Parts: sequence; C-alpha cells; structure tokens
Amino acid sequence: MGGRRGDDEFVEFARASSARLQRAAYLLTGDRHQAEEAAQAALVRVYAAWGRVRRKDPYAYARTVLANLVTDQWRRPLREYATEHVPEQPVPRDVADDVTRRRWLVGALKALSPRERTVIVMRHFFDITEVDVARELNLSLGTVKSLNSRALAKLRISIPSPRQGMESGATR
Amino acid sequence: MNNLDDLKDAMHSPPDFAPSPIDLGAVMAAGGRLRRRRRVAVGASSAAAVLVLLVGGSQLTRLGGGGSGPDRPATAVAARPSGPVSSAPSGDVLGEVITTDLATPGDDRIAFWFVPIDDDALPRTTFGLMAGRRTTDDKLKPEVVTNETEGSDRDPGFHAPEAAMEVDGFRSPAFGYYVGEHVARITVVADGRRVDADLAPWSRDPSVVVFWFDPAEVKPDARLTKLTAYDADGKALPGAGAEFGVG
Repeated sequence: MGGRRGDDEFVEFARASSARLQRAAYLLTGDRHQAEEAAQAALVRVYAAWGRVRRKDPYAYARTVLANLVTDQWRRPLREYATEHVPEQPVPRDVADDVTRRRWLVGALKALSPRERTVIVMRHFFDITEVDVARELNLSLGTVKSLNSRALAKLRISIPSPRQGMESGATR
Repeated sequence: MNNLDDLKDAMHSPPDFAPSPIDLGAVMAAGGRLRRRRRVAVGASSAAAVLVLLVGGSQLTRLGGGGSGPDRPATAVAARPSGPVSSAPSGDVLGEVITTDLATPGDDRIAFWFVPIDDDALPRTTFGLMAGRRTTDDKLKPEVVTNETEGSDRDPGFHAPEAAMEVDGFRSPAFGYYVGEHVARITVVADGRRVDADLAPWSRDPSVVVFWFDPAEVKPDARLTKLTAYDADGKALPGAGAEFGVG
C-alpha cells in the first residue's frame, strides 16, 4: 500500500536527484550511455524499496545503490582501466582554461582503479564524510582513507593535511 | 581555488556530459516488478491454484509466547505437525509448504511456501516467499509474495519482511524469512509491545527460517520496530532493526 502519495513523493525525489545521479554515474563509468542506464537502474531499486527508504535518506540509499551497481559491473570483469599512470596535465593550471582543466580531471578519473574512483566520487562529488563512505561502501575507514589519498595523489591533487597545518601554525 | 576545488568543480559539471531526462514511468514499472510485491491471486482461478500433495509433516515451531525481553531464551518449542507439504506439479513450490494454524474466515489455512524467482534484474535472488492459503480441499492459493531485492537472497540476516496487510479479504500476516544457523527466536515491537514470531525452517535449507506474526497481535497498521532474531541463549543475531515493506 505504497499508494499514490508514495508514488508522488518518489517522482519528486527522482526528478530532483536524477541529474546528480547521472553525473555521478558518468564519473563512475566514464560512459554516457552506461551512466544513464546505471542512474536509471539505481532509481528502479530506490522505487522498489521506497516504502522503507522514503522516510530515511533516500538519496543516500540511491547513491549507495548506484555505487554498488557500477562496482558490481566492474567485478564482472567488463573492463578495468586502472593504471598507475595518469596523463600529463595539458597545460599549466594557472593558464589553463576551465573547460580544458575540467575535461582533464574527469578524464583522469578513468586512470583510477574502480574502488579509488568510487571513493573519490562518494567523498568529493557527493561530499560525504570518510566515515559515511566507509559505511555505505562496506569498507573499513582505513581503506577509504588510503584509497582517497592514493587517488588524489594520482590526480596530482594536493590538500594540506591537518598535521601540516598544525605544525606550520605552531612554527615560530 | 585549490586543486581539490578544481576536482569538485569538474565533477559537478563535466564538460562532455549533460544529464538526460529519465523515463520515470519505465523506472516505476520496473521498480514495481522488483518490489516485494503483493500478488493478488489471479482471480483465485484453478490455474493459479496448486494442488498440494500430502507428503508428510513439515516442522513448525511455535516459540514461547508472551515472553518479553531479548534475554529470555526461546522456550516451549511445540512442534506441531502441519500436514501439508510438497512440491507441486508445476514446480512452483520449492520444498515443503508450511501451514500455519491461522485460519481465514472461509476456514482456509494461511500457509507459506517458497517460489522460484527468475528475474534478470535480480541476479542474486533465486527464490521468494509466498504467503497464501491452503484451502480445505488441499489447494494452494497464492496471495502475497516477498523476495530479496537488494542483495543475495541467502545473505545472513532478515530478508524482505513484509508488513501485515489485507488484500481482497485475505489478511496476510507480517512475515519474512531470516538466514542464519542459530536463530531460535524472532521478535518485533508492535506499537510498543514486544511480540514473538512463529518460526519454521525451510525444508530445503534449515538455515532459512520463515517467520510470521499472528495478525491478532500485529495488525496491518501497527508500527513495527526492532525486528530482532536471537539464538537459543537469547543473544541477538545480526540484522536487527530491518524494516518492513508494504505493498
């Protein structure tokens, strides 16, 4: 007895979240068509479970389903293009135009392993904490931290660590 | 803007990708098929009815009723022969049928049996659990089927708990199944009161345990929380807190 009201709520949810889910799927798969299919498949699962998830956090459920769907696909060894080699940045960042740099960064995600890519998308696209990433992907926190830092290193992204910040702050 | 912000910016607006409109009608149709769906008997026709062969007694275990508190071990395991059983000519019944002592207004008995599920969208679900009735002339009439929709149908823990509901006059109890070797008791808190489930192992795999709640104690509109399985020592088993679906 999900009812019309439940359906209306789902439609509202799906309309509000489908673009973001598709972007996430595109980042995870690197393929436009697979992205659409994966996002749609995730929404199918959300609808199937709507009675249970509607009053919790359906968006969290959707992103977890999406990540697992894509990961499951990779497990089936469809393709795996993980590599230690990330293409060189085409231009120095201070003169690169935004589109070129964004294209490079999105393209560089393909050079990550599936798990690294998934952690990057969950952590920095969905912007959830490492603890939540670990819970939603059923990984240990240490694994998430390790995958995240390794992936950022491959992407040549540097972020100041808290320790560095504290040390520099304490420096006379 | 630092490098991490560049990455976030790039991910939020990838240059070569624009989202497409999603066909929500198709999504909901497919989701509806996936949903632990309630299936009204197809006109209660003979085609939908399955002849039950009386093969032997299935195990039915009523755990000590009324106990409260998870630390109370299961008691009074009163096995009760329940006639029915067995596979149907169509192969739609996996293992033995579990017939309860719950009667419908027409004196049919509420029964449970496993049915095959074959759906490309559910690669890890091979079976579902049917609630239906066993008629006075030994036929099975399917009413409500529930099945795992998210993971493997044999992962440890609760699967597809379905809330009590009334479908065309059939009062389906709250029911589902639990996968675990040592489950001896399952309880739920219904409107603030702890209620014990009846349990019966699946004849094909005793680690798959069917549970259901007496509709007199767990009504269709009851608020259900803290669904929990316990071993014989009263220790809570994994999976507590699984939520019930409806419809």
